[in-house]
Amino acid sequence: MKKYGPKRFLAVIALMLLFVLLMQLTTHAQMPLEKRLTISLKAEPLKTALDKISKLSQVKFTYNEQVANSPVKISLEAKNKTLNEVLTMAFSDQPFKFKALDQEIHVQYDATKGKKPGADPAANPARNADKYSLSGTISSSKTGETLIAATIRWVGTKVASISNEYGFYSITLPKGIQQIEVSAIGFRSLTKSIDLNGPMRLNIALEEDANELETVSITATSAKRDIENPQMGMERINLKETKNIPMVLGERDVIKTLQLLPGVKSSGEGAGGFFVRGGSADQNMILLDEAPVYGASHLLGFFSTFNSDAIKNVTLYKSGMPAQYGGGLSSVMDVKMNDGNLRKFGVSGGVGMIAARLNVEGPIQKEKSSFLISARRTYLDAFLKLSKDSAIRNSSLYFYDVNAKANYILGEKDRIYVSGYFGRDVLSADNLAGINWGNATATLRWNHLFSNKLFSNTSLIFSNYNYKISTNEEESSLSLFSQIRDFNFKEDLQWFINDKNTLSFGLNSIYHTIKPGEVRAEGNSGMVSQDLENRYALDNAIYASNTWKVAEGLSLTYGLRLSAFSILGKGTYYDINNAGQVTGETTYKRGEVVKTYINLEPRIAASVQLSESAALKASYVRNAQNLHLISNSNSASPVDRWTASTNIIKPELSDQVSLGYYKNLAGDRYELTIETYYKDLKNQIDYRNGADIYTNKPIETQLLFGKGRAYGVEWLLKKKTGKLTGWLAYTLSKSERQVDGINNNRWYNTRQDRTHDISIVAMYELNKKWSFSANWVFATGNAVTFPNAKYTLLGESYFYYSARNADRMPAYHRLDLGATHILKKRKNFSSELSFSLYNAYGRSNAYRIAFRENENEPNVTEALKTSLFRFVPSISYDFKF
Amino acid sequence: MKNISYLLLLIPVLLGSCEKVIDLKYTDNEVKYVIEGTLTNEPGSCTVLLSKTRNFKDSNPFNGLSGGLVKIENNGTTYTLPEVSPGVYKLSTLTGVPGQTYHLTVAVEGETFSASSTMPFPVPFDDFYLKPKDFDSLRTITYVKYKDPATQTNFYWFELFVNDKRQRNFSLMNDQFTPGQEVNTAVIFENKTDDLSRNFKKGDKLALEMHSIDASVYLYLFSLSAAEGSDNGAAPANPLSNLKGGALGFFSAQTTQKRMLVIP
Repeated sequence: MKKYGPKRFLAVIALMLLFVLLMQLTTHAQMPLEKRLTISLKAEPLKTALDKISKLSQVKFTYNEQVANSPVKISLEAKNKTLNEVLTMAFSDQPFKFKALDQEIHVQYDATKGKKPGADPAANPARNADKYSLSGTISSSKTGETLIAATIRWVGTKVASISNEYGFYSITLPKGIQQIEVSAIGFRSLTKSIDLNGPMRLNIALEEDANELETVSITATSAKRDIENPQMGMERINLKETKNIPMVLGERDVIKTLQLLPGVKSSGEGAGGFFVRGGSADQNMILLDEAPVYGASHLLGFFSTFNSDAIKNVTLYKSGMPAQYGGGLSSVMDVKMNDGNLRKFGVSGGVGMIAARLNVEGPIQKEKSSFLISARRTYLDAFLKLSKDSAIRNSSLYFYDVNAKANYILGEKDRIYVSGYFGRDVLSADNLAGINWGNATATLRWNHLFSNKLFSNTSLIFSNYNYKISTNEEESSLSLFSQIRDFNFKEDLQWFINDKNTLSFGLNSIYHTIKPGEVRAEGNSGMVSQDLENRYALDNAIYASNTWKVAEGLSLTYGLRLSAFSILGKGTYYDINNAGQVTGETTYKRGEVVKTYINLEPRIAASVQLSESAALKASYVRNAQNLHLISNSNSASPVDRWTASTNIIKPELSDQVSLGYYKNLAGDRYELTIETYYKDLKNQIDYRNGADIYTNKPIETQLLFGKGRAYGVEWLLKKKTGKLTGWLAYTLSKSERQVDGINNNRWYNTRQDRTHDISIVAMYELNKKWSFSANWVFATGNAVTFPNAKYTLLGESYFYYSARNADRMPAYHRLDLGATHILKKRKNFSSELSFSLYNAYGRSNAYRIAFRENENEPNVTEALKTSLFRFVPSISYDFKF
Repeated sequence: MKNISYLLLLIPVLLGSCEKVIDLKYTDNEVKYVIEGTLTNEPGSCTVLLSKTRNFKDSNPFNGLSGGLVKIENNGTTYTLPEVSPGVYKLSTLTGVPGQTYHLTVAVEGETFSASSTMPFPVPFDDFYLKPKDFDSLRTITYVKYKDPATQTNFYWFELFVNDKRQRNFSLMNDQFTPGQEVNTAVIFENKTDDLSRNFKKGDKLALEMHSIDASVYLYLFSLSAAEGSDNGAAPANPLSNLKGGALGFFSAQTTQKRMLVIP
């Protein structure tokens, strides 16, 4: 077993930096501009002119629509001049610029050209007094859905602002006529002139990018990443963008898309759980319309609880979490549901291999209020009924979920949203034993504008997760019920102070009730009905964070979150010795404070722009987590036990530093991200050896506490535009734990430790009817414990283990293929068929390796590998009208 | 609750799992001593088995270790167990008494190991029965009946026998959820192998040995049953032994009662 010490790690970083340097150098080679040509143009439209130059010089041009549709006319005479000279001449008095990218020339609109130097108002501090705010909402013109993270930019400058989670933006611009450009992924950019004579409200609607590809590939400026923003370690998933990625059994799943990104790992074959940067699954704070979701998977982890039809946007923070988020050590996954079409009534849905979906949305009052209901249910159980085996015939195995939302625009300044989620899994065998579990969340939100610069969102949230296990026998029955329930109040404010500062601040207060177990027994089993004590806690936090554009190319975000977790009575709390025995207890009255944990969580990030297209970012973040999932399994098990911090279980803490390099390549068609991180974890929880999960003793008696560390480098090269899109991701990482009482007190690999992790995702749009996709993943095998001796006890062979997780499963790799065929695409009705093949070359990846005695030669030990999912084909049909 | 785990096992089956025997490189680098000591309230039962861990390729079923000095002490009297065959130490004259604490010491190859165990008071094994509908050739559910004494904390160990052959799986009970109650609980006989000849059929003799055990032995057996980890990723770990000195295994002073039934 190789050890990757810090020295080795530093060497890797050094190599990485070297690579970056080399890349900086190589991108400066400019071959095509040296080509010579002779040409004569007389007042030709720009596009025609470029076509002619392209034909003569044999050099390809790329440009966006703004360039293609420009009314500018070009005239020029050139005799045996280099392409560089020709283009310089052509654009000498026009608002365009060009640069060479490999063998192509990229032409861009450039508003600064033609303006006289010094006329740029941003450069003139004397005129700062005449600045006004421009604010409003950015939405889709087709559906009225607000757009998250749309960019609004003052054309020709670096002054820009991004719309928030509710589509609201605010930007400060000088008085006078100004040009703004609004862009968002999947939408056509819009350039607009406005006359600013005071604070102004402007709601902007963008048209959907119809994906009609022209002969010359169009570079969408909207795809350009905002490299000035200090936010790092963030991935935003646009569901449309990733729609064609093949999935097991054809069920689209946003969590499985996230697993293809660097630093995010799948918790197991086909599993819907995920690990971020070496953290465990419960260290991901998952929010659905602001409500925490505690059980984020269906069908024992194979499917996520998020129905893609109902989701607008998913943002995952791996580091540098904004101060408004807290409670999860490893990541924040912020899922926002669609609001519902404000313009027209629509129905969409689909049938896949295991589930059917239906989505209904439309206006209640046009342009004022709308609703959305999206539901999904598996129908696999229908096939169980066909079985000859009565035990299978009488079994149940299904899940369903419903997302519902309504919103009402009260006026210019106010909007109200009500949203809810309800999902349930049911699993039972032969009417004898069963388990059902699920989440319910409800959110009431009120957006209010105090002024053009101060946006407020107030949320009231209810969240409930529970499960029930029951067994029914002839003469007895038994059930176990467990629940975690939250009432949550949240106030978030965003103050767009001026063009240099944006302040976010707010507070959050959650009341948790955890019911660890209610045992109900009837009949002759001798089981006595009993309740484990409820646990109560009040989870308060306040935060403030400012993003400050210090100077051209330098931005800072600095913030602080103060969390106070108070454990409340009534209840009995215990003193426990090192051996896990109860040595004393204290009983608290209802409402009495048992203990309050106060944590200061600083959030600091900085970004330095190295060039027009490259930036360096660094961040430090501390997170505290007070709700812990006590689990010993890979896959999310519905019966995993959630517990709050107690006098014994201290808040888990993480300190993460990260450094990243960001570069937009080839005229923003490619983007490269390299991030490296080091995470220090405290108060990590693990089960003792020989722990009993079903005990009525205090849970602390079964636990041990220790520390952890995780570090790694993540590379991501993404192509966002053109017929072929996709990405290449590579992660090199390490995740370890040290707990006194486990592995002889030595450091051991965590279950989520995977040294190498590669994913390649490619999507190709062949024509208007067909699109194809493929992804390939490779990962170091899971860290597992293999025995290294055997012995005889009670007449049977047992195994001896020496070091925990010191062995590896065989490497995991897999190729998935997908194809989508659009059957019909009309204004009122569209439908498509999707095909996919999971594990296309049938690699039998090890799901588990077990050791046993050979049945024929009882004393010969053999290793038995179990694999799941080889060649899983699927087909699904989707429609929309 | 055991039924649930069977349910969960259903999932991979439905998703079309496949199994294959593979070659792995084994690292045989640890040699440990193994002690299995039992003393019951029945005459002639006092046995201590002494062995060493074996390599994977080793097909010898029991690597008995000779030349050990095995002693059991109770109330100031020390009994030495003679070696009757390699690695098997027996003293038929020593019969355990409920409520008494026994101290085992084993000295072998310069190492010394010790353990103590207290024999609990016996709890009557009231019934062992099979409902006709619970008979299945692969998996047969039987029931045991006993009355848990309210005055003390009890731990129970049921050893399973099919046609007098001891089975690998065993059943453990405690009284956390059944204090002082009359208990009827399921014990499952199962053929987990691919060998059809081990399926249950009419006329098969099913038997259970019920032992009252002390807390340290319960913890050992409980952790032994979980030692190989679980399918869903719980890490394997060595069981928590009541032996001091670094040996594997356990020493138990326990009561014993046996009941049998024939599949009708």
